[in-house]
Amino acid sequence: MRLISRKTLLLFFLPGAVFMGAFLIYPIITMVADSFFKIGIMGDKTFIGFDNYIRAFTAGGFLKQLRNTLVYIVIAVGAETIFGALFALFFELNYKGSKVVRSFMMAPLMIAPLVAGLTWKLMMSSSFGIINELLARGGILSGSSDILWLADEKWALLACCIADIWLTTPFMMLMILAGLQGLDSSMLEAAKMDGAGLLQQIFMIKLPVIKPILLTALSVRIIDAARTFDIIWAMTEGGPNSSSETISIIIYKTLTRYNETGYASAMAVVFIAVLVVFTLVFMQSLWNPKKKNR
Amino acid sequence: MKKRIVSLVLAIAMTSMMMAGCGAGAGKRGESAENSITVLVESGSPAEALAKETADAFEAETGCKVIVDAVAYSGMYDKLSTEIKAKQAAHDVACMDVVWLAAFAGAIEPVNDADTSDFLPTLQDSGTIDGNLLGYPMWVNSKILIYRKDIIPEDKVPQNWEEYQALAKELKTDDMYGTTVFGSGSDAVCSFLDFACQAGVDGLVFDGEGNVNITDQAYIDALDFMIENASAEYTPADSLSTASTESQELFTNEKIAMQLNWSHQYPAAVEALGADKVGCAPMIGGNAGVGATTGPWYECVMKSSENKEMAKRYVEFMYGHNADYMSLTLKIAGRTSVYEEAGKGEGNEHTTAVLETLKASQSQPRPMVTTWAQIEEVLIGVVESCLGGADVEETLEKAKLEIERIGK
Amino acid sequence: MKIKGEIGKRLGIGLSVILTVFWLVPYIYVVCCAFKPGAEVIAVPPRFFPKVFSIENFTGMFERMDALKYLLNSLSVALASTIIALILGALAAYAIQRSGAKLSVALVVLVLCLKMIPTSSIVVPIYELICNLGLYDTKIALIIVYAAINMPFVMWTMLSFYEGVPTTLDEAAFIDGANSLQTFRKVILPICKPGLATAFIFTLFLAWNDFLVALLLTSTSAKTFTVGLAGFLSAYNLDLGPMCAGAFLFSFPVMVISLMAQKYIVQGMTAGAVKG
Repeated sequence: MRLISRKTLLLFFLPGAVFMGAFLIYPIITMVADSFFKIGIMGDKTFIGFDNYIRAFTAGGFLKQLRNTLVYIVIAVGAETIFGALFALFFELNYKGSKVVRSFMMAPLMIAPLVAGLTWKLMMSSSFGIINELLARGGILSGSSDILWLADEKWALLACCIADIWLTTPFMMLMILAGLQGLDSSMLEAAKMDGAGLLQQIFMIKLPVIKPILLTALSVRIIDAARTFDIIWAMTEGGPNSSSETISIIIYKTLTRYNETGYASAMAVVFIAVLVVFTLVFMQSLWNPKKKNR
Repeated sequence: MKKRIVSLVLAIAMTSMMMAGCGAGAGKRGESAENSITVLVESGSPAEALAKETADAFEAETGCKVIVDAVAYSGMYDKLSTEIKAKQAAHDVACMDVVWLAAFAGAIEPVNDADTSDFLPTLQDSGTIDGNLLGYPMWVNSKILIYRKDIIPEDKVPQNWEEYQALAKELKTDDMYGTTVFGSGSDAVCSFLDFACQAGVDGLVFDGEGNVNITDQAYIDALDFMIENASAEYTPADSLSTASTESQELFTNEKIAMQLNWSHQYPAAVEALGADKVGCAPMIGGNAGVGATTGPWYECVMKSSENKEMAKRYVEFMYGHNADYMSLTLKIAGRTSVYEEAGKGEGNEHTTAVLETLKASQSQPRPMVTTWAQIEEVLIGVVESCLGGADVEETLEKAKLEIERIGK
Repeated sequence: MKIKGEIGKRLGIGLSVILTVFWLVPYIYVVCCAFKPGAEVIAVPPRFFPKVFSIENFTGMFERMDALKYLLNSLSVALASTIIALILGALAAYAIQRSGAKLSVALVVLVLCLKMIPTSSIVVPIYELICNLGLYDTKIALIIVYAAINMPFVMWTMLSFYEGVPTTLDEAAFIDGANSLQTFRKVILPICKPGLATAFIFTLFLAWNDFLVALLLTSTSAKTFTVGLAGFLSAYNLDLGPMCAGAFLFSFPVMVISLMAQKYIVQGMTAGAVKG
């Protein structure tokens, strides 16, 4: 016996579906269509087939931005995970006021990425930024203009990574902490009694427990890192010399500054495709074992 | 049950009220289009200051309100291009950099019946595309030499590259550098092109036949000159993050003895340090003499404006008030009469310097191409890479290919 | 053994406190700069704490941009879009979750994929669509777009909450004579209140913090605060004092709310991750 009639199901489902269909799915379809055209600033369209795609994958296309995006993901997500795990281990202890300390640690989580970008831009300025000032005073730099965080091709991308890491390490820490809460303390006790050292406790007991949540968190973060726009735009706008340009930035620039809607659409399609495939693959490996357990 | 219904109804009511509020907002905008126009200007520029100051006068004269929208330079182009694509009249009038006229030509309402007799030299040509005059020049700018009058006597004011470098070296002390190099953003490109003019280039980026000429010797010389200065000890170490504003900051804080900066920085420097400490002179000359890129800004009426009549009146009004630019701190204008008048006054020496720089035979405008925004990005990359240590000729070669690919 | 534990514990506590303070330093710096006189913000050499306490940055901010209008825009758009996303999303997710049809699995996967779409990709066609509808630079456009973009997230959150509600409750309500809407409102929703709260807070923040969509879709009348803030980095002046004031004003309510509603934020982030 059906609990809910088909009709009611549809009624519940349709408003949301129509809304998303109109403003999410329809634009994607038009974008795929647009990617096969060359579109000028006044709206004139000329069909050029796969040219936009071919252009994207050759020199002068977005290979550099692709590489930058990958580097960004590896550095940012890597650092966040390691720091997040480390911090989680420290924050695991329950002491008076630990909840308060934890809440303060999580405060930066919800700051707008744009604000995070602006904050670090201010701090990393070569003329009056306190980062270089502190590093110089600490003797690590010989002068406060030694490292031009935002104006040097070598450092620009890393500078953006730092801001991102600052913003989202608390997230990783949170996820890992949540995972650790599910740890069966009796297992830990047993291990301790068996004489397991601290490192062994961490790697053999805690790590396996947090694996599922860690993997989920990783997949979410990898995708978020790939999509970053606000932070990089605020700090460097992709410069200098495209050294901190990621896919999101080049898509935006191509659309507004270079006025090539068709080409921007093609890049966007490729971007979505890659992320969707990644999500599916990831979720596949995560879900199937779960489905089995049911 | 009743409570649920009530709360649901309230939620819906709240939402619809908010939506109505937003809808009314949009509606009101349409309504007030009758008696207001929106003007886009570069934030922090003389255009913004003058627009705000004259808004009341315009409203008194015509009953039409002026809404000033100020946007940072790097965002202005993006905003104009997205608006034009959106085919919606967010702005009736835009004060734009000459290099954008080519890209937006199709979206600007021409003002062919304007009286061009008082335009400063080169301004009519720069503002005309395909035979249409696209706007009234509001102000033209070029870089000039701004220096510490109290430290540099008049006979030592450098007039060419060698003198410039020698003087900078001489003036370097523990508390002060000789000069600066612009290595960041579009200011850096203008600097680069300035020096290229002085080194003898004929046609910026494109030569007379429309071929890309940036691998010519003049450009190499220009970049070498900049690199030499940037790595010398008489300039601060962070040239890569120095542009007009930063250089001016250093000058007004007495950290540099001279700078090649936009002419409107002169009055600001005078105000900060006093007239007895600040002097100005025309741009220096290279092997081919004095030269600089010109940077006029035009006030244009947008084709998609719903209030074209009023917009046109505004543009003419602003042209009529060109003299007012002089009375603002930034003190530059677009009309010959205004400049000549003003040049006679004290504190406006920079107008003479600009006029002389503009008159020099090697002074040239930047190319009027629809793809300038992209080409400028390539050039920014060239300057930044070379200042960062890349090989000059190689970088120029690669850039040439890039620009040829971008096309006009 | 015990002593080792004690020292270890103290070390852990000390470290976590130090880490927290250290992590908050950048934000505290911005707050300090917001309250410095304008010139001190860009003083060389830079100082951390203000020498002189001043609010001139705040007045400067209100002068240089229509801060109040942008704040109100951000707020109204965020609230309206969140409510829409919440209502439509919760309903749709319930339908998917309870339908038990094979199609629902595909739909769940679709929702997941939609959640992962990068904003920068989708702004391109959304911008065209909004322009074609003649809604450029209106608050309605922002509300609609935010609601559409954030709906997958709401659905994803609610899906995992519905899963935790056994269908026996639905059956019981049905036997009591309730129709589907009543079951949903009186039985399921109250249980899933935490889910709703989580979805509400997250979606609200997502819309409040958004930059790219607003940058592209607004010009003067519907401009949000984030776009206004970014406009401070202009070429002619290093107006960083007012920018810090704006940054502080903008993120302070967010921090306060997230401190108070932490429980829901934690839930929101872990939802879907700790299943079953």
